[in-house]
Amino acid sequence: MTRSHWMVHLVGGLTLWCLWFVLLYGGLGIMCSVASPPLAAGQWTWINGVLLILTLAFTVLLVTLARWCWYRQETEPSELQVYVRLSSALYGMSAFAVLAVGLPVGVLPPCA
Amino acid sequence: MLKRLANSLVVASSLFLTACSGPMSTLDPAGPSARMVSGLWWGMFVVGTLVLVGVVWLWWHAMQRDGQSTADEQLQEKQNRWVIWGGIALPTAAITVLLAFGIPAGHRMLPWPAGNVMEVHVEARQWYWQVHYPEHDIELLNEIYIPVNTPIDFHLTSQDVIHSFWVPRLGGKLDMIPGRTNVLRLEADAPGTYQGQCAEFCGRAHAFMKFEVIALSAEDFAAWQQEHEEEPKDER
Amino acid sequence: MSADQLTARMHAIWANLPGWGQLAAVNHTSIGKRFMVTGAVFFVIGGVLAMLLRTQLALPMQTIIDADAYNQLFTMHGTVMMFLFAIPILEGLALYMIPKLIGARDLVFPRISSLGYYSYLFGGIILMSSLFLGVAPDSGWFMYTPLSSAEFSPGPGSDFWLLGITFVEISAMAAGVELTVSILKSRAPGMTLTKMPIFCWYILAMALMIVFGFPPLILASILLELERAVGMPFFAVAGGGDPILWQHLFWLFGHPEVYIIFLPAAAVISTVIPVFAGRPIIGYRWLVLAIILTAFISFGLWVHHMFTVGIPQLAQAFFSIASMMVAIPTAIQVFVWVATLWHGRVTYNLPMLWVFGFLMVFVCGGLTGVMLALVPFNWQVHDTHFVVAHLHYVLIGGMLYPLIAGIYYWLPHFSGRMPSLRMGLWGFWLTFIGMNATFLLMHLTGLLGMPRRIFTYSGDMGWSWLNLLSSVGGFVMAFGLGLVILDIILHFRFGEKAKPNPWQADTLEWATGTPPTPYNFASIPDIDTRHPLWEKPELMTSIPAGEHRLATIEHGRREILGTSAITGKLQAIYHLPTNSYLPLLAALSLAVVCIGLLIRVYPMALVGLLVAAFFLFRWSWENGSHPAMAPPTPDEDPSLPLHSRTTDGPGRWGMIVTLMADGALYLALIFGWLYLWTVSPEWQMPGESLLSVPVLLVSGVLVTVATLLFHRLTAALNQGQAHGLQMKLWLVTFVGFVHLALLITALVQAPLAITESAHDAVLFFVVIYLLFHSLLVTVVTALQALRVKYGYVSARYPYEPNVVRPLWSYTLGIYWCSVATFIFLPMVWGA
Ligand code: HEM
Ligand SMILES: [Cu+2]
Ligand SMILES: [Cu+2]
Repeated sequence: MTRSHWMVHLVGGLTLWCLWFVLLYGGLGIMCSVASPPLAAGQWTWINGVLLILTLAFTVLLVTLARWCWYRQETEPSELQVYVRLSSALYGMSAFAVLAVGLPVGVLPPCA
Repeated sequence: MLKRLANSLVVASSLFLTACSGPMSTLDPAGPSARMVSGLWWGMFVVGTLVLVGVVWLWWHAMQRDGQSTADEQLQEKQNRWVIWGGIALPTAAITVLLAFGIPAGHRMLPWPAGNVMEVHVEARQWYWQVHYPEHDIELLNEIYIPVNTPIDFHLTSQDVIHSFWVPRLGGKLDMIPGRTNVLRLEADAPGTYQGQCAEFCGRAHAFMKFEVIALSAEDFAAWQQEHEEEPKDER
Repeated sequence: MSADQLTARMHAIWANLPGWGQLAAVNHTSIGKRFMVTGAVFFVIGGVLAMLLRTQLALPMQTIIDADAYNQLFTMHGTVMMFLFAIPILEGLALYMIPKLIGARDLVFPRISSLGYYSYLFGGIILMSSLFLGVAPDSGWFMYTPLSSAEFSPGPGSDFWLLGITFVEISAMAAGVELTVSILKSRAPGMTLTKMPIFCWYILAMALMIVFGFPPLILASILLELERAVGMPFFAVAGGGDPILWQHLFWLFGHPEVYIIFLPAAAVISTVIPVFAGRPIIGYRWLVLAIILTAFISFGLWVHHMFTVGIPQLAQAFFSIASMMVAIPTAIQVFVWVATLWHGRVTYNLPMLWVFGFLMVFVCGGLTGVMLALVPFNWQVHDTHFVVAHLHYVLIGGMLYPLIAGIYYWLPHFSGRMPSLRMGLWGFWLTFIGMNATFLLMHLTGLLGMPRRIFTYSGDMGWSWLNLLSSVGGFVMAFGLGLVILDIILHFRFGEKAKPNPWQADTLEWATGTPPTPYNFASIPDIDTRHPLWEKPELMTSIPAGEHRLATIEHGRREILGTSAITGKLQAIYHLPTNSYLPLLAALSLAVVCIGLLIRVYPMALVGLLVAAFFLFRWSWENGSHPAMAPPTPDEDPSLPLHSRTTDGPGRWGMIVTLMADGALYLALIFGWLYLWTVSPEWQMPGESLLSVPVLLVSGVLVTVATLLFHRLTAALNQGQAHGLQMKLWLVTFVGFVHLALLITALVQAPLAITESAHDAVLFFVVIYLLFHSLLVTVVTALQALRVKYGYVSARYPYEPNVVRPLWSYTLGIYWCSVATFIFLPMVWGA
């Protein structure tokens, strides 16, 4: 594996986090402008459903990447192991950040 | 002895309460939204103070002591312990608790459909407030009459720049933006006059862009309404 | 050559010109100091404005300052403190320190440093002049529309802000690009990324955040200025715009900016603590992790400044939680610092005192920050004095205190003299007590309902005693800070002479001399440790003695080492430009542009622009093997070539990083487009494309052809084939011009009502953006063709086409992306 490859992983997790965040916030805005469910419908609307699936998909993806990096540690030359471990931690933290920030999707109504 | 202590406690707390009261004090709530927020504040204040004191004490102690005796082999583990407990667990726990109170509070403040909601339209301009009661065709300037214990939906918009509608003793503020209408749900517990003020900087007379919310008991409100509905339009 | 001779020769090559020649200085030590001194002057100005504010607020219903003046004062106070003090002074510190920490003699783009400084200086002066003319901006430092628009702010105040600040931002962008490239590409051989002093990680993150964070504001400022000057309704509801778009773009910059300010300050803390704890920092990798987390997450918080605009609560909750989550990397840092102190033995002195003050004040500000992130609480205290208190706790605690700690720490480095303890103590305690007296009580003022930005209040609100105490505290603090500044000024004359490495620090800057030589290192050592001066104290003497690399100077070039980004492997010698007036001249012409736009004498602005373009192209001409730069010499070593003899170098990296910033601006533009389209209340999308689609397609094919041709010729050149190079470049230029002509045709033919419709205005802006890039890359290609003729580009010097190449790719990319999002998407979606 090349060296710059690990630089990508160093920022990969949080870049995915940013991407997810844009999809989440932008998607909510667009979906609410297309078809806004009434407030009385509460939090169990199709919009919340879409956002929830999005959130879970990204969490799974990030956890997978974190594990993948973790198991690559030994196979990399020693001078690169630092980056591998950091990348793994960052993927893990990004997964946590996705899950945590996505949490209110199950609590709050979407468009009010 | 105990009595004296109790007395001084009463004096102290009443002093404290006067310090917290005031015509626009968020700590002197007169409605459900404001009460929830002031509860949140006192909780956060206590926890925040404890954290601050704790961290500063740790830091101070760390500066006093001579820790160079620690062997390097132990350091790796110690370092992880510091960071994982102090740097990750502590803020995560604090945030979780905070959100556990905060998100439901926000949830309750939403303008949920309910039986007895009243609608009041407010339009801001540099630098006054035009109030309109759609159900009764009443128009007012810089004052809003509402019945107590009734949820009011304020429909807020602006005709020029951005303003913000805020009655601190009743609840949080909401911006008034040209081209949109925002809805703010407020409710007053007791009859009285509550001061409001524009909270978004809006130019020269921003400091004086005030209004009053006058909460009346149900009967008084009905009487007021009648009086106003009878008033011929062109007199105003 | 003896060490003395070496020193003398080095001086001759690296020193600034004497007398007025100082204006041509490009050296990072000089530029960094100028940034810091200028920033300090603006701090004093901002402080005086603050004292005027506090005087007016001391008692209820005062009329010392009227509403108009007050509005100008708080706007200017905020603007000066944020844009002219906090960011530039920290940039200055970074520009000064970075090469010294990584073992380089200068930054990789010295002329850019100088351009950045002059842009800052002139932009700052233009902005300040508005205050003296009595027409200062008065809509608050975040300039919300429509209050700042032509209708409600008809005077020139907002224009001063928009143009002046955009001018100043050139300096931030310049610093962002050159710090990134310098840190990645010019470290001492062997210094891998994880061997860098932690300071460099912080600055790397800060620089990249500038690269991505500033463009949204630059875009927003351009759009608002266009709205004010031309009437294009980007933010006006009536034309289909939306004032909230301004808020999004502003805070998309504004929140990261807070961390752009905090990260370098934390860098100082992380540098000072280990030195005075007498041990390496505990948890270097945790810090790296925290830095990366902060840098990213801070881009997902901006809406927490907009919780009261009426965005759905669910969306607010996302930002609320994300905002609270930045507390995690911050707490990681705090506990890394605690752990380091815990396992060390602390030496007490002035810098540590400020570090301790930092901790108390900053943690308090951080805690109120978490509170503010809680949405329902925010609805109550947003735009009150609670927020004013919070922001001063974080800015003063999180930026000013560390800055002062850093200044005291590096004073012996700046001047060769030590600070005086007695006056310093007075300064600290007065500042600390005054600051808490001013702002701790102000939290309560806000909770009692006092809105911010009101010039007075009535006496029956219960705010009077609090305001009086805050004002008294403000004056105590001002007195304390005055003592600090006086102490620093006096120390240049009365301070004790410093010993070499007076604090027994571990990092390389102390091996550059106190005060440093203009070339920092007479020879550049290989570094394979994070603590070079602790592990190899002999470096203090072996470096000046010329025992390491690059100790030859006969060629007369300014040279540094170029290394690989991650592992720090030696790759090339970077030759740097020497003193030059071109940055000054370019900045002066840009100032003319700025003033021309301000007074709306557009011919003057146009002339200024053409002159600026001339100087900038002249600047780019004096590059590579041009006689003013690095003409061929007989002693070049092919195993360690000069970068202009290779296919990679700092310029290429600089181009790529600049394009990243450009891309951020473009993304902000697309965001604005989609935002207005979906959210703006009166947006109108025409039924069909207003630009001729066939013309756009042909033009697009041409730009594609030109890009492909350019790529092929560069690839061939890199293989050593320069046959017909000049002809090929002329061909690309020709194709580029035809593409341009077609694009202009499409624009001219389009029936765009740019002053009536936000849709048309955005479309117009996009085409202008495309035209700018196409024109730039075509002209640059033409210049390349000329340079082939002059022999500056050839098989032996294949470097420059490799620098231009990413610009072609970018031009191509934005062209098709724009056609897709601004033309095709509405056609498909609308149908
Ligand atoms: C010398 C001590 C300082 C004092 C006494 C002071 C005082 C004030 C006051 C009274 C206001 C509020 C004006 C109002 O809302 O009516 C204010 C606003 C502000 N201050 Fe300071 N300040 C000081 C230092 C600083 C520093 C060091 C910074 C930044 C690095 C700063 C940044 C700001 C900003 C951004 C605002 C908001 C301006 C706005 O509302 O547009 N201040 N300051
Ligand atoms: Cu206002
Ligand atoms: Cu923020």
